[in-house]
Amino acid sequence: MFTIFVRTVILYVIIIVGFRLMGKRQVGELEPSELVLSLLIADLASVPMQEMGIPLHTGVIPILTLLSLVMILSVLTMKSVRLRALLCGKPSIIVREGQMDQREMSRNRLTVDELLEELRGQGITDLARVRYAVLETNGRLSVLPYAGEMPVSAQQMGVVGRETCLPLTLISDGRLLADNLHRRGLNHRWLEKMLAAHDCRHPSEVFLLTIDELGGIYFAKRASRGGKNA
Amino acid sequence: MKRLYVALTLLLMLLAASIWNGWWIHQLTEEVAAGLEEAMVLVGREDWEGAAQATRRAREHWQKHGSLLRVLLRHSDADQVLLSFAVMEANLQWKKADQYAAANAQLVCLLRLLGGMERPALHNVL
Repeated sequence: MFTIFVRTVILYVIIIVGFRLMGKRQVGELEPSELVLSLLIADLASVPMQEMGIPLHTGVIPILTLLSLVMILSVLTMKSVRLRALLCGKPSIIVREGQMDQREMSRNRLTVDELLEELRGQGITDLARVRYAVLETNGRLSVLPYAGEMPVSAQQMGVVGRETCLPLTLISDGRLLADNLHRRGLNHRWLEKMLAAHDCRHPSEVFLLTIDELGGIYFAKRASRGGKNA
Repeated sequence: MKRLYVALTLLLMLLAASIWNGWWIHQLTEEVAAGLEEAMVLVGREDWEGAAQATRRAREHWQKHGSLLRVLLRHSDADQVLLSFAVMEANLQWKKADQYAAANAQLVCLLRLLGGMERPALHNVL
């Protein structure tokens, strides 16, 4: 049992580090090669994890080899467009000027039902409204409607909107993030004033406090033990 | 580019380790098998004491690398080798030449198979 426990920890750490090296993509956005890698690693890790008679290296060596190959290929695909197209494929234009490209659909094994389902998912029920629909290499469909079908922007309306500001978390679940406080040019005296203004004495009484670049503040008190917000 | 070099280095290290592993296990299994063949010759001459010493030397040589072998080989294979040594030593003790010969041949064959299995050869890859 101890062996299985230690092996599980080792393999888990290796897999986490490996996936961390792969980047921040979501599972649903994996390229075909990344999907294959994920499936292979899961399978390779599970065998020595369960079977004590198999040496650990039979799982670790193929996992490390695969991760090394992925890292090499990821660097090479960044440098070579041709290799990128070979490994990841190319986006396919499925709808052009409102017309479906049946050959491309057939080549990508995309049925009409699937296309319509994807369009409905993006709020489009009429194919004639679509100027381009592109099947991306990660399998997602990007839809570009005609200009007349696009929502009006603030710029087109001649309205000057308030810029979106990036909020910085100062207190998260009762924990003060002092680095962020100093990054905004604030100090503990400002924080004490802010807490006092919301009837709080200590950061531990705050669930979330954020401040954006223009000084906009979001303050949420921590819920009391009974579950109600104080 | 740093990631590329790190990955290439890791890959080359894994390749080197796997080649070394194949070479080392082949060497070890050949040495142990040679010791057992020598013991078999001694049994043929009815030199039971000499055969026992040669078999013990072969077992000790194998067991000297016991921990590493359990890391590198399937545990069932490593256990099978030790089990065969125990059977051979019991046969030597009771001077059962025919049963010793069978156990010796079986172990020599197993060792050569283990050594051959780890060698970097096309037939192993395929």
